Amino acid sequence: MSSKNLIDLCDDSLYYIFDFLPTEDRISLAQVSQRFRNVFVDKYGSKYSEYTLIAASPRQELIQFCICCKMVKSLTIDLDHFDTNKYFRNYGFIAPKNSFQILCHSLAGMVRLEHLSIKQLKDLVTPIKRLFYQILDPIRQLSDLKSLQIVARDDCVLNHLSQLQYLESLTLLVPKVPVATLVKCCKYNTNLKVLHLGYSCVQGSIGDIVPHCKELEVLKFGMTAEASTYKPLARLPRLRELYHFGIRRSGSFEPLLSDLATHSQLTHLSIDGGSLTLSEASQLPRIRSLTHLKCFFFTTESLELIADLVNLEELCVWMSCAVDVTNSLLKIIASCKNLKLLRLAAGKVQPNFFQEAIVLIKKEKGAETLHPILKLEVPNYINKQDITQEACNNLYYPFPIGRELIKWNTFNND
Amino acid sequence: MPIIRLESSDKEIFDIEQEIAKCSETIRTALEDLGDESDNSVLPLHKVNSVILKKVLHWATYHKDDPQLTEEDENKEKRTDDISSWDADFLKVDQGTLFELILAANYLNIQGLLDVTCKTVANMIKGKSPQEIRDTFTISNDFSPQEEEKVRKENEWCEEK
Repeated sequence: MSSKNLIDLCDDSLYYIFDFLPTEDRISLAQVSQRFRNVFVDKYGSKYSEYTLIAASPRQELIQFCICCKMVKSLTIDLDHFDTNKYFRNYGFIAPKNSFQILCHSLAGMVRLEHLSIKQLKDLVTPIKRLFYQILDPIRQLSDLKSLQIVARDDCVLNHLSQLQYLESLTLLVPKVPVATLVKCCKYNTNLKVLHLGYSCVQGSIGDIVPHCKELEVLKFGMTAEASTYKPLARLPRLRELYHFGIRRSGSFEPLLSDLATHSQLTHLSIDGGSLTLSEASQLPRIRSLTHLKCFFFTTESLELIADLVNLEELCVWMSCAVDVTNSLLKIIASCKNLKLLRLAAGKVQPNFFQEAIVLIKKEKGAETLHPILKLEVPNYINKQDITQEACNNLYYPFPIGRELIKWNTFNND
Repeated sequence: MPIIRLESSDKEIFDIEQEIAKCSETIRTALEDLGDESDNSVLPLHKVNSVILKKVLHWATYHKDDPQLTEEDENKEKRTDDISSWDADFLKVDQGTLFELILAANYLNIQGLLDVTCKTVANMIKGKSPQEIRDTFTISNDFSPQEEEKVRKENEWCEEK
């Protein structure tokens, strides 16, 4: 009399039936027809919106991940999963190739993918040929994919980066990238806003990318080169944040800093490694838009130039010689009224530095005025002290004594 | 003892003790809404026919003294091998009736009946391949050849070939 079928049940009831099944049977049911597959994705898909494929990812989890591929928003692939040694122990030689094909096939279906990270952190022995091509090819149609990160220990062929066109953020921590590949990539990804390149990985003159990076706002890189190599970067029309890390030649940033000053749009500057020469430091006060600055100094003379950057909110300084910088820092505190963080990662200050700073702030701003808390971090016996309104009003200045290690982070938001 | 009159989709009237009918959340809420007027008023159940309603009421009568499910019960691991022999006999019905019972239990919001019927279906699925599930429940394979290929592939993760 009744002809109701399993597929006539409402979604709620099917969810309920799925609940009563072990994983293996859930997968089988999801593979019966469209309806069950959709119900499965609705019920379990959210678990896979952020997924990391690791060497030990189990088979059943991977199958479910593939079924739910259209729900994946953020994916990290550890290439160690495709290492021959891992498979050889368990399955035999051909499996990495097979698994890799399944992954690449699923990648094309990840229509909501926004962030992809590919990592090779260990030595990789794999039978897979043209590995990066095979990953980059299926994702080129994914219009939501805005952020790509590639971290690799070994050389990798990244020619196919230029097939992508929707990237806004690109991180390449790889041994080598020919500048031509990078230029092509910037050309096609016209909305690229953030570019992060590993130390010395660019093969060629990094300035070549400038004409193609109309929207670039954040650039992080590191390389030893002639001053003329860095200089063109000042012409990036929307550059707001510039980070250089690692060894560089003394004085090599002067032309770049000089040119950056003419636009005065840079808010974040970090030159992490290589003390600024006096002529380099002299350019800094001209970049009046700076709010965040991190750099190495050799003399108090250079350091004191910073006091003219009145818009500074965060300042991280590394003194590469053992001079006393107490007075220079006080001068900066007195003049930079918006300063919220002052971190001295290496350098000497007198023990009464904090007291002096408090007296200064009280005098400058008056005890009644509410001002932003200033965080001071210095090495040695007193590491951290927040000068709050309370501390200002307190006669005895009770300081917490701590021996926390100072992290040499770029800025607070790292 | 107060009685509620239930009307099935095919217009058959069932007189049933309110206490028994209250195992259905849906009916219990309706009774609360009716308040004092609940005696002898007719509650139409558009989505349940008389054959199924009769079975549901049979089940409800037998289980009327069951303890309420606590939150702890709901959170514990889902087992399917704990169906009582009475329920197992009760559910020796054709598939169509079984699914109608699930739809009715869902519509009337009778947790105990929904549990036992879904467990029964889960037991029919367990250990079967997708094709065997299709055969068991007469479901057609509506995947396109490409989708079919994708399904075949995803099963090969980490498999030796």
